[in-house]
Amino acid sequence: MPRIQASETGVTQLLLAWREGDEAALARLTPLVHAELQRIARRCMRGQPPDHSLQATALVNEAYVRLVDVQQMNRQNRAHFLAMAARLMRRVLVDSARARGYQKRGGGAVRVSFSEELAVTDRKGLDVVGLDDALHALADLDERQSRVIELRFFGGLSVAETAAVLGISSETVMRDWKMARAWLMREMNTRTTT
Amino acid sequence: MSNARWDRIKDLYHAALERPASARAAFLRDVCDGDRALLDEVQSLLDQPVSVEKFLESGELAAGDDTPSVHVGQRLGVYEVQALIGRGGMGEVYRARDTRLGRDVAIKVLPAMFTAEHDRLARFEREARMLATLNHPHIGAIYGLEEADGLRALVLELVDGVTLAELIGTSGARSLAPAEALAIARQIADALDAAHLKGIIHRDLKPANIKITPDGTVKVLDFGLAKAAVGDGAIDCSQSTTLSVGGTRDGMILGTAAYLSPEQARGKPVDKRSDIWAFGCVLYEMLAGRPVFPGETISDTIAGVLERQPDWHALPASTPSSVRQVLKRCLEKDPKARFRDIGDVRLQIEDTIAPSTALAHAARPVGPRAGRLEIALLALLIGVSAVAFFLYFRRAPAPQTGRVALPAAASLHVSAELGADASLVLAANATVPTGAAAVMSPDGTQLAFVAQPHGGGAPRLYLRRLDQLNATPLAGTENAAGPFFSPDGHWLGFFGVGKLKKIAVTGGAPVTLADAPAARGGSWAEDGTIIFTPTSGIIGISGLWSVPAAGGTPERLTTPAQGEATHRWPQVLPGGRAVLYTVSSGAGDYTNAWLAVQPLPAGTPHIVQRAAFFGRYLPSGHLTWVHDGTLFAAPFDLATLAVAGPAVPVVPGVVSSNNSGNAQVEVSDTGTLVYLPGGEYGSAAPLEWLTRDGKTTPIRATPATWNGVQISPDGRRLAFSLTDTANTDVWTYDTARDALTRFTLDPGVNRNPVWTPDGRRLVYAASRGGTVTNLYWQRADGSGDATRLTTSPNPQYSGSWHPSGRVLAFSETRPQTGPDLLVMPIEGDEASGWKPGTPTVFLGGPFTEQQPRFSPDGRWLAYESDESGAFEIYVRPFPGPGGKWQISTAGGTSAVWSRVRHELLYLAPDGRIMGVQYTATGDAFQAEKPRIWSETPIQVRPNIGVSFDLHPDGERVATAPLTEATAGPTHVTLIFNFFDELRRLAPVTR
Repeated sequence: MPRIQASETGVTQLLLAWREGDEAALARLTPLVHAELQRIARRCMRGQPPDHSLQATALVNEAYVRLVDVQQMNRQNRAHFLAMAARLMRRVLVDSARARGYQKRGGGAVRVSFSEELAVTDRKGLDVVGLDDALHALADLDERQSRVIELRFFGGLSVAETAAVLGISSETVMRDWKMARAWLMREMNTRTTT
Repeated sequence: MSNARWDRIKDLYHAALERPASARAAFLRDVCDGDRALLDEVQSLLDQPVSVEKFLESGELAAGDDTPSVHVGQRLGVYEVQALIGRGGMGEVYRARDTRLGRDVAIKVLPAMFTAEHDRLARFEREARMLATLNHPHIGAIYGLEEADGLRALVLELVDGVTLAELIGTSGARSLAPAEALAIARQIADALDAAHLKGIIHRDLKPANIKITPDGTVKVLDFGLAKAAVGDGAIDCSQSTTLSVGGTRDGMILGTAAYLSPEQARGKPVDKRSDIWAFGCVLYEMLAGRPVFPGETISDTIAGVLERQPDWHALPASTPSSVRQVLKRCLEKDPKARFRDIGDVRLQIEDTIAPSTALAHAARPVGPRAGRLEIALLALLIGVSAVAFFLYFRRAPAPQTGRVALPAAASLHVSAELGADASLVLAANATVPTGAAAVMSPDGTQLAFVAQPHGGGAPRLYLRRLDQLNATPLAGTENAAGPFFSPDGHWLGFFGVGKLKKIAVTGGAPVTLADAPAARGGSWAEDGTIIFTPTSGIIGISGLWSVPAAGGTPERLTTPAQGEATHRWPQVLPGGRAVLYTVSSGAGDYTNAWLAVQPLPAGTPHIVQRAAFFGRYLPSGHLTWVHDGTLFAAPFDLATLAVAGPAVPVVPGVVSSNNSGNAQVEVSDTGTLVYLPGGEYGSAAPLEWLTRDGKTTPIRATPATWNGVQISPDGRRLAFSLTDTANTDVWTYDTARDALTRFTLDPGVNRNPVWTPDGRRLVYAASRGGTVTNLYWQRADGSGDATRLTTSPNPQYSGSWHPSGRVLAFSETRPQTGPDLLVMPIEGDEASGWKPGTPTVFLGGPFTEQQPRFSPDGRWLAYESDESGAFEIYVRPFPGPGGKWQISTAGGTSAVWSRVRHELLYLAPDGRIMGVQYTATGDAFQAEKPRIWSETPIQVRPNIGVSFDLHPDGERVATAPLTEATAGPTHVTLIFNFFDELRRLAPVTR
C-alpha cells in the first residue's frame, strides 16, 4: 500500500526546488522517480500473465502519492510532477515490455491499458512498444502532438493540466489530441497489418 | 513531409470534422483540388473508426468533445431522445421518451468502443441483465439495453429530483438535520440491503449517485455499473485506477476518492463491506456537512482514507449516540472490524428513528405455526443469508405468546434458487408460452416449475417443498409447460406435447385429459373441473373449454365474440361462480388487452379491467394483472365481479409478454407471490456456430430474442425474426460485415423467413393490419415492396422452397385438421413478374404436420408430425405419391437437410441436434439410426420457427448453444406477506 513517509519528503523538496527554477534539482529528481515507477511497475506485473494490463496513470499517481508529501503541493506542482513522470513512465513501460521477452510486434508484448474505459473497450490493452514507435514517428511530424499524447496517456494529465504544462490553450490540446489519436491509430494499424 | 504540408493536413482534418460526416467527402474533393495524396491522407485520418474517440482516451470520457453521439429528437428504437441531462463515467445520459410505453426514461449511451468488442459487450449485457433484475423502490431500475443504428444504450428509470450531492452541496457545504439525514440513510441502507441479498455490490456509492425525488423517496442509481463496465478482471494493481480515472479531473476524482474504502484504495478485492464504508461516508457527510476525508487533491484524500481517523467532533452535537456508533463501525478501516451486513445498519437506524413505535405500528401477529413455517422456509430459501434473515427477525417483539411478528410494511422479497441443477423454461417447444413457469401451491408450501436440466434432457416439471433444499423432477413430464395446482395441492395440471395432463404431486404416471395443441393456460376449480384454453387463436379457434379433472369429454365454455381473437389465462374464481380470463382483439399485441369474467355455469361475460392481461383474483380481495411489465392491483368485489377501487402498481418489472399476454407471476392463497423479475419476455441469446465436435464460435455475440434462423444459400447472411416487447420483425444479418438490418418494417408480427434458392428473396409469415398470418415475400436486399403471396382465412407459416425455385411448401392451420402441409407453384421471373399459383394440400389429416423441408435434390419432403402422440420427423417422396419413412426415433422437430452429404439433421427433445445418414434409391428412402450430431445441447427458441439451421458447407449450424449464460433463469423471486403489502397499497374498503 502507498505509505506517505517523512523520509520521502526529499523528493518533495527537489520538486519544489525544480519548480523554483533549479534545474539541478530535476536532474536529481528524475532517477528517484524513475526508480519508484520501475518498482511499482514490477510489483504490479509480478505473478501476472505476460499480457497483463497495467494502468499507466495509476502507476504515476501511485508514485506521486508515495514520493511526494502531498500536503506541501499545490495543483500546479502536481501537474509538473506528472508531466515529468509521464515521460519516465513511457520509458519504464517500453523497457519493461522489451525486457519481458518482446521479440516482434504482437509477440509477448506487455500491454498497457490506460484507464478503466480502455480496460473495458480493449481487454488486451495496447501494444506499448508499437505505440512508442508510432509516437516517435509522430514527433518527427509534430512534436507537440506527440507530447500531448504522452502527457495525457502516460501521465494522465487533464486537458487543462496539459494546456498549462505546454503553455497552449485547452482548445489546441483537444485538437491535437483528437488528430494525434487518429494518426496513431492509423499508423499502428498499418504497422501491424503490414 | 514539409511543415507546410503537415499544417495543411491538420487544417483540412479539423475543417472536415466540423462538417457533417456526409458532407466531408465532397468538401475534401473540393479543397484538395486534384491533390490525390493530400485527399487520401486526410480521408484516411477521418476514416479511423468511431472507436478512435476512445483510443488512448483517459478517464476523461468524451473530454472536450462536446459532440454527443446522439442528438435531441433522434430515435433509438422506440426511444425518442429529448434532452441531454448529464455526462457520466460511462457516457452521456439523455432523457428520452419511450414511445411504446408512453413513459419517460433515462438512456445512457455506451461508449462507442463498447460496440467494437463483442465478448466485452456480451459480458456487459449479461451483467446489465443481471442488474436489471434488481427491483426495489429505492434502486433506480435498469430496464434494459437498447440497440439501434449501431448505438447501444442502457435504458434506465428516469428519476426526477436532486442528487444528494446537490442537496448537501458539492463539498458537503450544507448539513442536514439528523432526522432528515437518517430518513435518507435508512432508504439507502434498504437499497443496499436488497442488492447485497442478491450478491450485487454497488462499488461506487456516493452522493452523486443518490437521488431524492420530490416526494422524498430516495433512489440509489448506477448499481453495479462500475463492475459491469470493468468486469472481474480488474482486481489487482489496476484497481487503483479509480484513483487515476479521477486523475484527470480533480472535481470528479475528489468526489469519487472521498468514498473509496481503504481496501479499494489499495486495489484489494471489493465486497459488500466496501459499500458499507461508502454508506458511512455518505451518512457522515449528510450529518457533518463536510466529507469524512476532505482533501485538496486526490492524493491527499486517499492519504486520509488510508491513514486518518474521521473527525468525530465535526458531527453535530445532536447526533444520537447510536448513530455515532453506527458511523464508527461503518468507517472501520479494517473491513473485518466493520459491520458485516448493511441490514444490521438499517435496523440500528430504524431503531433510532422510532425506537418504540416502528415495529409495534407495523407488526402483524401471525399464527405460531405459520410464523415458524415462514421463517423456516425463508431460512432455507436464502441459504447463506439465513443469518441476515434471523438478524432481521430477532428485532421482532419478544414472542410472549409463542407468536412471531412479521413487520408488515416490509413484506419480504427473497431471491430463491430453484433447488435443481436446471434452468426455468419460459417457453415450451413450438406452442409457447403456456403460462408461468413457476407456480406456488395454494397453501404456499410448494413450488412447481418447468425447467431444463443442465446436464441435458427435455424440460420437465419439478416440485420443491419450500422446507426442503432440493426440488424433485416428476417422471413422465418431459416437455411439460404451464403447470397449475389443484385446489387441495395434491395434483398438478400441465400441458405436454399438445395435451392437457395431470399428475399427482407424489408422482406416478401422468394422465391425459384433453387435446391442447397450443395451450394458453389452465385453472383447476374447487368442483374438480379444469378450465383451460386449448388453442391460442393462431392455431384453431381460441376460447375456454372445461373438462372434468377426473376425466371426461371436453366442452367449449366460451367462444371469442366479434372483435375478440382469444380467451386465455383463465382463473376460476373462488366459489366457482365465474371464470376470469384475458381477451385480446388481435394476435401479438396485448398492450390493449382486457380482462373479462364469464359467470358459471352460464351467463353473459363482462369486462372487468382494460389495458390488462394475465388477471388473477387474490384472497386478499384484490385483482392483479400485468400491463407493460408491471403488476397492478386493485380491490375487487367478488359479489359484483367488479373492480372496487383505484389500481396501483405493486411489482414493477415482471417478466411478461406483450406478445402473448403471458406473465411469470403467480400467488398462493396464503399470500406468497412467486415471480421472475425482468421485463421483456423471451430469452435473449447470442447466435453462434456449433460444429459436430461441440465447438462454438460466435456469429453475433449480442444476445437477442431471435427466432427461426435461416442461412442464405451462399452462407453469408442469416435471416431471423427479432422480438421485443412490442414487435416481431424479420431481420437479416451479414456475417462478414457484422451488419444487422431490419428487413420488415411493418408494425404487425413478421417472422419465419425462408430464402429462395437463389438467395434473392425472402418469404416470411406476417399478420399485417391485424389480419391472419399469411405469406409475403420481398427482395432480400430490402428493395421493392412486400408482396402478398397467399390469401387465406387460416394462419400459414413458411416452410421451404423446392430447389427449382418453382414450388413453395408451407403449413396452414385449417379449422378441422390443424396444421397441414400445402404446396404452391410459382411461375414467372424477376423481369416479367411472379405469378403465384393456387396452393394445394400435400398432406392433411387430423394431426399436426408442419415445418416442411425439401431435400437438396427436390425429390423428398421432410416434416414433423405428432401423429404418434409426440413430434417425430418423417420423409415422404415429392411430389408423391408414396409412403412415409419415420426418421427420428425418440422425438424430433425442425428437420434440416445437408446440402453436401446424405444427412438429415433434426432437434431431439433433449435439445441436442441429431444426424441421420440416408440413402435414396429410386422410390426407396433408407434412413440409418439417428446419431448425436453434436453433444452440445442447444436452446429451444420460443415461438414458431426453427432453433438452428445448417450452413451450406454442412459442417456447422447457426444456433444458440445451451450454456449457463444462455439458459433460462435459475432463481425466482418470492414475496412473502404480499397480501399485507397489497392491503397497504390498495386498501380494501368494505
